[in-house]
Amino acid sequence: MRNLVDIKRLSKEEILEIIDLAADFEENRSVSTCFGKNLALLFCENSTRTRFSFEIAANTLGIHIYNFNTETSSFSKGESLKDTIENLSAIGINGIVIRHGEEGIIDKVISEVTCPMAFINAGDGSHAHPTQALLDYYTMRKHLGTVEGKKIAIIGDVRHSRVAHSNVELLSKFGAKVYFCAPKYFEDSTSDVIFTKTLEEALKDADVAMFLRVQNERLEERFPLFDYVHEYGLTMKKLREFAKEDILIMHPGPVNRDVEISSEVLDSKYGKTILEQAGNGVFIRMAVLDILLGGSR
Amino acid sequence: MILRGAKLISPADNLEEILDINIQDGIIIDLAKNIDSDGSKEFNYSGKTITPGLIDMHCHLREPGFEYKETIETGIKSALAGGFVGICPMANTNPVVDNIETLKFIIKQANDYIGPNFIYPICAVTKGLQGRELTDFVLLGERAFAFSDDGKPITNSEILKKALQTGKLIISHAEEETDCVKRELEILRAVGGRLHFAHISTNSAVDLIRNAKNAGLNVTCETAPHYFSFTKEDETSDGRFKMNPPLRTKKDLEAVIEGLKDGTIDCIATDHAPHSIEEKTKPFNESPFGIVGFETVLGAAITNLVYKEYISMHQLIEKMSVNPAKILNLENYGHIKIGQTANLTIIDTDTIYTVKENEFKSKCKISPFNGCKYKGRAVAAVVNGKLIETGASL
Repeated sequence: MRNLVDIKRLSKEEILEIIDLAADFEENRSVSTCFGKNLALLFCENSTRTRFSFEIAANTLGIHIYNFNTETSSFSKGESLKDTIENLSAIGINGIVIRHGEEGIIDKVISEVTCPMAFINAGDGSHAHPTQALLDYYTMRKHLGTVEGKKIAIIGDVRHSRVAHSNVELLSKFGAKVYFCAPKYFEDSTSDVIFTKTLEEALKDADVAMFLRVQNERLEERFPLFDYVHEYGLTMKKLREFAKEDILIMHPGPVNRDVEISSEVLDSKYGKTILEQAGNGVFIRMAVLDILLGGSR
Repeated sequence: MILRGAKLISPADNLEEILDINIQDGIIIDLAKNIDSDGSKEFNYSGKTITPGLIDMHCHLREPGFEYKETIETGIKSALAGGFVGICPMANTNPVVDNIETLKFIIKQANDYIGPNFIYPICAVTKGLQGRELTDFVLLGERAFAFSDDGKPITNSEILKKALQTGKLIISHAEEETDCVKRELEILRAVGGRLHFAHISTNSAVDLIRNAKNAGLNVTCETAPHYFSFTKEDETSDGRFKMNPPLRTKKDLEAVIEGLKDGTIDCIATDHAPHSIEEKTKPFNESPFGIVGFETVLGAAITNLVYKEYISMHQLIEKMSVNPAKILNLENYGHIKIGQTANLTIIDTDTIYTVKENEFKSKCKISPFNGCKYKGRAVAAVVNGKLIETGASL
């Protein structure tokens, strides 16, 4: 593994290598092999937890971080991403974490540059968000042992969600039964995942229910928020009525409180897994950085 | 890198054509005639055949525990020389692969030598291969693509039922082939699951499996090259031809070939089972079961099956690549297409040579195939995008 662009290209073996190393970092069984390396963070879209998570992961490993300011860097002077990266490599940057609105941009850049550089996708448009899928799997695995044969419902804007796309790719590799639950306008015709119409169907017998953020910034038309909350928003009442007692409630964050999930659910024991996801993200990103930037282990 | 001029044969992609292959970062990015040079390395394979990478779903590498017979490294060298790009070693090492530490050890040893995605160890169905208590299918199952107590039959029906009910692929070593196959097919009929029979060698077992498939059971099977190359008449006074199941009659050999022809037998696997020269040269009764097979299977199969027109080259590739990939659920194998990880075998189907056991890469340099005159052998393999010529050191 030289770059992390999407989940599709990883084998089960490579995924488990990341997962195992993340567990080793979490339990202090492994040390950094990439002390003193240089990492650039290029976030062309907003991010709080992913960005902080990468920063903390890098800091913990002894990696130096260099943040782009997309407003004042040469980016705004019209320098192409290819030229920017080749210059960064010449300066001594070893890896770059990119979040960008354009799908497939990282593959495009990788095919253009000739310099040594490890690329890490932190979300490109609706395409992929591999570290999120990895941390989701890490979290599920802790609770469920295995996802094989488990019912995992992904609820919400699956069409625009890179989180959903990366999760489906990963979970299917490990034999999970993945369902999408979304209103018509969020359905994704490119995917062969089974759709369920109602939240009740999605929650029934589910081991995991993963709610996706309503991404206002990617929605083209005005969207019927009231109806959406009524039909797809998770409340304690629906949870008690339709779901198994030990269902895991997950969300990549940030949660729109009382839209995807009610405050009552978020503040109950069911809300804890979402914070756990955020915490696990650091170990996953440490593992990814250490594998891509580190010496041989 | 660009591989030029070879005939590509990929049954699953409906492909048989002379095309160049462009591979970048491990992925096939172009398949076309006369691809423009792009500054990357180029190799000319005119006159050769390129197929989806061969997978051996049944072998024994002996490490840990019996490194004097074979190590993971010498086993991989031998497999590469035979044209394999993916192999599944069985669990009967010491310690047995019935725990996560041993499983990870084997994967790590292989990865340190050749990188990830080459070795796919098969885990034990029962602890210590004792047939009494199931291993941790959940923990092991995340990494293992199949489970088997190969070397020993699972005599306890309840254990086999439980194993099948996990939904994992169970590979059965059917000792006393006919009775065992019959009994296990009944269990499969009753509880469902996925069952694959290893090293099928008899007329009656082929018949039983054919009927079971016709009845819609989810069963697959493999044979090994020696069962379509030799009969028990060929046995010598030492252990050179000693394996389990043993060589059979001419009628059985013909039934195996018939099973390969009509699709009853899905795969050809080597059952590569190395031992030391001292062990194999003992008198027949004292010598251990098992012969090596990586480096002779392609020659034996092309000569004894394809050139004799029992099966086509397409069928052979199905049995050595496409079907094992499907049965094991291995991604990145069984195809030659754009966007796919490049796992390929490059074969010279015209070269004629005599098998010389002393030239084997395997530690075990004694083989029943020694002295056989064969046509066709692997000249190189592309393993996860990396070209490895036969005989080259990594």
